[in-house]
Amino acid sequence: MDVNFLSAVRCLPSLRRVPELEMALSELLTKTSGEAPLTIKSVRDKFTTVNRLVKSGRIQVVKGPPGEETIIVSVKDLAAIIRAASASLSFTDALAIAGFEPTGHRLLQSEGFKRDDTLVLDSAEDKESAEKVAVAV
Amino acid sequence: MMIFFLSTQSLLDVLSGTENILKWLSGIPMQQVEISAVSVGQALDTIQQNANAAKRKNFERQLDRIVTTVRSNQGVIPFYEDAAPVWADLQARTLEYKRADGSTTELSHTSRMVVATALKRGATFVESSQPYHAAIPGLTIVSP
Repeated sequence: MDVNFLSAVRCLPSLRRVPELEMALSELLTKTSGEAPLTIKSVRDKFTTVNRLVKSGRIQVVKGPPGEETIIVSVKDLAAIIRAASASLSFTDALAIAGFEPTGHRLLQSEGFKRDDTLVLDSAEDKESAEKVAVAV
Repeated sequence: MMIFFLSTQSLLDVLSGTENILKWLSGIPMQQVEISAVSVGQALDTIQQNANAAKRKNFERQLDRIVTTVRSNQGVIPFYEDAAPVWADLQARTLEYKRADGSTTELSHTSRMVVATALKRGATFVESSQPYHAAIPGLTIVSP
């Protein structure tokens, strides 16, 4: 399930007027799928493919008049949408939806501070020496 | 909206599944969590030092999932020009960092870039308690 989609769904209930909500949801679904809505014929002809895509978390939109499009979604993803719409999605919820699994092995960030201003001075001095040599030659 | 800005070690602790930080983050809305793009680089650098290729691959895959989640709310913050003077100020300070084994060192140049970004964002910095925190006026800390 696309985390961006779930994040956007969380904002939809704030749209109180039904036509606006339907329009926003329709736009969001089309934008998320990244494809034009399917025709009924193409769904019928390629149902195995459509079903596989749905099971992999990609909601499929079937063409219809504005606000009357049909969507095909798995129960798992529908549950995720309801959760996202009804509750504030915590960071760990979002991680779980994204498929994150803790590695169980702690890594430590190496720290240490070394001033490199002497390197700048050294290189300036080197350049100066080189120029002197060039003049002498 | 309060922003919680993860330190690189906090990001690595999320990656490993350290209980304290995950428990704390379970109460924080996803849109309030930010990380520095510099931290992403530091985390990848740390992962690359692991000799086990299979573990490295898994670390990278899981880190990518964390970063994707944070990015979905535009929460991966680059090191912008406006943070540069803050970083320069931090460079001039002695910032003591306590390692997990109890030994101390100074905060690295790159970690100072992360802190500078958090300061510039006006965010609460998420990191276990460190001696250097007290040396930076205006830095708000939460230590899960």
